[in-house]
Amino acid sequence: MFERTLVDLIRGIRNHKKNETKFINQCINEIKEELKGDMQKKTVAVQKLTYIQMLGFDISWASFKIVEVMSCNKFSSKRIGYLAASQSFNEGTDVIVLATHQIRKDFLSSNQSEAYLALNCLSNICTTDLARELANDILTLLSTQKTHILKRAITVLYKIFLRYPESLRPAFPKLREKLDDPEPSVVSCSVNVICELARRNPKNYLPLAPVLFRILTNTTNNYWMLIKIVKLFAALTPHEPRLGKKLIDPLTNIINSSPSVSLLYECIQTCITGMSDHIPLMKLCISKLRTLIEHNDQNLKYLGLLALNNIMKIHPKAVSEHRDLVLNCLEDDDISIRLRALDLLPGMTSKKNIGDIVFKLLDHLDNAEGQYKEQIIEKIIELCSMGTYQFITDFEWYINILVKLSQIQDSIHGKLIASQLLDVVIRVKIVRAYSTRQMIELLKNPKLMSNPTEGGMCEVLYAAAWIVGEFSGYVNRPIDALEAFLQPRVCVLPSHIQSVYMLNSLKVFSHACAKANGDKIPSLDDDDEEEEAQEEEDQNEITHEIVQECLEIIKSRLTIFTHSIYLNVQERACLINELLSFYTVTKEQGNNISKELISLFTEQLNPVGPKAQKKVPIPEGLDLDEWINDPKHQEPIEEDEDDDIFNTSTSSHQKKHHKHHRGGYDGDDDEDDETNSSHSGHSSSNFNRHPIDIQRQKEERLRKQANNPYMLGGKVSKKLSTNDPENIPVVQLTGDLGHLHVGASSNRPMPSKGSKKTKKHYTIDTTTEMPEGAKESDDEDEKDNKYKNDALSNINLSEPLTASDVLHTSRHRTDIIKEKEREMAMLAKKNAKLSPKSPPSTANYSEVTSPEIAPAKKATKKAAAGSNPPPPPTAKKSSKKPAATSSTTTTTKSTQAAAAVVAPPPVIVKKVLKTILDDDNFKITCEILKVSPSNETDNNQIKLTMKVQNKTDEDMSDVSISLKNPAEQCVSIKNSGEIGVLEADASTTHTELLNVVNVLNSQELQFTLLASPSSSPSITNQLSIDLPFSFFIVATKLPKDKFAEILQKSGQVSAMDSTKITGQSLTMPLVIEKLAQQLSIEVVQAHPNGQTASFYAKTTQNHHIAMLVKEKDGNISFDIKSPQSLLNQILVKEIAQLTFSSK
Amino acid sequence: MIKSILIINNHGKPRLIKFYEHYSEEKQQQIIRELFLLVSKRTERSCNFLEIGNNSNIFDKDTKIIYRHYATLFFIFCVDSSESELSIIDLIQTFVESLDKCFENVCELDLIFHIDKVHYILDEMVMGGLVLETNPTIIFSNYEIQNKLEKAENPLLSGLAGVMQTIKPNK
Repeated sequence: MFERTLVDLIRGIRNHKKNETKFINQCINEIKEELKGDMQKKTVAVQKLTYIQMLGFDISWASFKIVEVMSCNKFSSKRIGYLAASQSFNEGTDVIVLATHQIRKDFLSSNQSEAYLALNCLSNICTTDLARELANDILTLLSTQKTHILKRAITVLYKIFLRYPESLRPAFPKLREKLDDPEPSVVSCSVNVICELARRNPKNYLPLAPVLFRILTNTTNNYWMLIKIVKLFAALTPHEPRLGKKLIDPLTNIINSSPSVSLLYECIQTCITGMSDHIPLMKLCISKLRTLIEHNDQNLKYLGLLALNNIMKIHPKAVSEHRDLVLNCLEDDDISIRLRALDLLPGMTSKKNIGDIVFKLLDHLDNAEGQYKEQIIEKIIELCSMGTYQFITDFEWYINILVKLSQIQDSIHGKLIASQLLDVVIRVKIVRAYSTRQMIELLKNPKLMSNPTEGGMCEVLYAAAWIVGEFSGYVNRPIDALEAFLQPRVCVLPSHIQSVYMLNSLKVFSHACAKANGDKIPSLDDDDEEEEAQEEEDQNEITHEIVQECLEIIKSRLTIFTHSIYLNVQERACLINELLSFYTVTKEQGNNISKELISLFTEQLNPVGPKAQKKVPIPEGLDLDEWINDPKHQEPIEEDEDDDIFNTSTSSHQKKHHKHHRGGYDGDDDEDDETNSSHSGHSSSNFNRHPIDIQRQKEERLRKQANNPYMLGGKVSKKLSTNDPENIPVVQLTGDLGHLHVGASSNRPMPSKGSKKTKKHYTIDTTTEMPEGAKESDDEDEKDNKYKNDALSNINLSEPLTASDVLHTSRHRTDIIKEKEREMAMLAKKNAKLSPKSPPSTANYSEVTSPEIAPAKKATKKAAAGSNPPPPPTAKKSSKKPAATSSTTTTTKSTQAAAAVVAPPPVIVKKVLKTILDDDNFKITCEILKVSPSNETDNNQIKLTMKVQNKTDEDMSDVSISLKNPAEQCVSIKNSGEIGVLEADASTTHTELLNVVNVLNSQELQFTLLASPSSSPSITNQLSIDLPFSFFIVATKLPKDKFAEILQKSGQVSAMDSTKITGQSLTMPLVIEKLAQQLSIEVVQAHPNGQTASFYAKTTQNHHIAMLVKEKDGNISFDIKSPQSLLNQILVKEIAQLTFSSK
Repeated sequence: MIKSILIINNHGKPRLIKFYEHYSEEKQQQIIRELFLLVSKRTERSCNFLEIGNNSNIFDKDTKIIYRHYATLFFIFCVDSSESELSIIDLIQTFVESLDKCFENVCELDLIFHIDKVHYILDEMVMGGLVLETNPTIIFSNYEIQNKLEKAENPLLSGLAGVMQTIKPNK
């Protein structure tokens, strides 16, 4: 059968334009068949799948086949496989684990191109598992000399950190080193990664500032990297003000002289974030931005405006000078530029020009559409409402603008305009009469009702209706208003708007009644403009006939609403219906209840602070986490609870009434609204019982509680006495719903004990209602950091590495099994105490080899092949064994030197913590770190971190620690210098970076500690630190033939020494394990009888070490061969210090 | 970080997609559609940056879209705030120059029929969303090394491919 190639597939798809999907599905079926074929077919099939994936088809079903193609030996197939994997694998692809080994093998491959593929693919598909498994190998790769591999390894590190954040700490020192790499492109890649990391947690990277600064000042041509560094500084400067000062000069330089606009631009951005207090620099930035904005290049114009906007947030005045420039940009063809110019307008606006700017924007609005249109509406409102309308001088003008905005079709800003209308009318009393007239017009306007959708422009009607109702004192022709309220089209509006219509029609009617009767209208009593309003009314007297007419209108039109499908509308309509019937009946009896009607709506309304609810202070003594009732004894209070249930259910029901009654703009936050209503809504006297009733009930409840053994006594009653429960709406509203007093007697408002708020009256009422005791501060706005809960950004790099900072190293399954076997064997041996006759042991290394391979050995070999580098002890394990390998410290007075040697994980960091001095004056602990053992250049570098503590109670001056060893042994590369003054009881750290020149004669580091106490003669202390030789051993897996070769070559291992460990009943597996763990000496071959084994290791200075170990009756003898007997002696010493305690 | 790199033609057909953050195939297509909608509205006079509304349900807030239009193709890069806008514009130029070196006067058809090559070149330039190399010459030479390896492996097939390439597919 002839298969389609990729080109055939693409051609086919192009030829089947009409039924592409059908054709592709047909191809997928063919591909499914081809995937069963040989590798050649599979490869082509996978190639086709990659193409199909681009067209939006899921190819996850083929993941396994992709892994197969990835694993193919042929580069061309491998390439196709990796590409397919990059495009389609993700965290959910389960077969990714199968690829782990293949990826590792490939990026360690000698073929660079294969390594590229694997690294590239890993950076795309890195999952948590892959990251954990491969982190170690990537780190080893960082030591490579091949620039292109190195660049990729650095880059892929970022993905490893992202998925496996624990790796950041152990790996960071290596990454940091790469900033000093001689190859600029390597530095560039490291900067890239660090830049990404620093975005998440800038503080971690502050110590890098000097290095970065050096790169910044020394690099001239690599703009990409410079931009990244400048961006990096933008992240760092907010955390270190001194850095900003330091940067002023170099950045000014770049801004003035750099030929690269992109670099210039990023410098300006960094200056804005970090150095905004430096006025000359800011001036320079603004002038440069001006040239960018005036530039012909649209991109520069856009970015210039963007940056200007950032400056405006800090220095609004400086930016407002460039008003002309910004206003010009409003005329630009490009919408993006116009939008950015819009952003700048708030900084350009003043009392004088707000009119012009808004008219200009309205002009734009005519031709605008979509997003731009919405943005303009938003912006007009933002400009006008800024600083609680500080720029508005004529509010009638503003109401007109809002009305104009409400005429725009299909805008999403109905709610915004509505809330503005409400806000203005509530805050600015003088504009109420005018607005009421405008709102009636709005209500009559059929345009707004033409296509009502919730959240659309019809929301404006909500505000309009409420304003007309609330301020119906200003309504001259109630008939007009009522006709607008009750027109049949209202039925198409969203239910919440209809509800408002209902209640407000009642308000209008009540007012009309009151006016006709000549009743005093309380709400207008204290208003200055009342007279004016009254005057207007005089021209248009409301007569009883008009009221009658109103009544007729309501009665006749209300029917559609009493049958409304919306419950809340129906409820209100029915209520009004009943009320009006009551009105008619009483009127016929000769009583006019217009006074009572109007009293329903008399309470004043004040604006409520946007965060009022949040700021209600927690009453003293109230602990919300504390049980109010003992949870165990809940049942006995049943009686009480019953009561509560009743209370809450009815009260919530009433609250609803209450809220709508108030008719305030009902935003999203219902909860807020409810509290507001209780504080500042209309008096709800009619719903409340007489205060005496409440008082009586309260007393009764208190008495009950006092008698109830299950009530928490003291606290609760205290709370009750200090904070009247009557303040809480729930309690306040307790009452039987049935009693709807409309009689004159219940007319007096509730004595409001709780709401002590003073109601103020302003021309522009900028005050907002806040709960008593609310804090003035605005600190509640938390900065929105998207990385707040991100594991990677929570990693702290400033702490020194500890034993737990070890990368995960995969261990072969057989390894673990083997370990268990060993343990079992140990136990068995111990129990049996057998001493079987040992076979004739051979003294010759080469004879250890046995022709047949025993199962145990097989396992060892497998383990060796399976995990490369060799499995180090896990952190957990090493901490279990605080072995005292090199427990003898030669400190002068150290008696209890608790030198704990943590078995060094042989791969990345070897570390030992020792107390080197503990006398009357000082305590010095030293942490010895071996960093990067695989990097050839600094393979013998040791980092010492000494913690020096002054134990005396007097200050020490001139404290210094200096290395004494001769230069042929080791040299200090870098140290933290003289400590200087160390105050009493204080401690400090001294760091020393050493290069061990000759590993064979540097087992002991000598330091001199000098100090001058203030009252006694100066102190000189000799410090000596034992360096574990394992620091200089490189674990090396050697095949047995190579091993034999080394032994045979004369001179390679000429010196031979022997040593013995006796009386410990040791077994060979244990010895193998311990040698590998503690000395990094790996087994080459073990005799199946478990009594002889050969070992090999290499020092960092390439001395070969060969060992033959024999076990006899639990005693172990070691034959050591190496080039120098000095080395042998060292090893003998180290072996003597080996710890074999198995637990 | 670069979040995604897309090449879309004037009719909204994807010619290259590379997502450095995971999206389902469905979502990928949605992104392509949405981006095309945005990009196709732009005039030649417009700047190379796209505005994303706050209410986009596809892109998160920290997304900048930078594109360039070459003949029949839109090159679109979605990046986050750690990238500089102007250098991304330069990067697009680098990408196109590298493609030009590879295909000699690159046109849409080259991309259609040699999508894998485009991927390989891109991989030499951007890796996992981080920029690896910005020099077109180095990008191309790295790419060539791998091609040679492929050719050496299978001289017959590569010869055939060469022939196929010379007979450029007619549209």
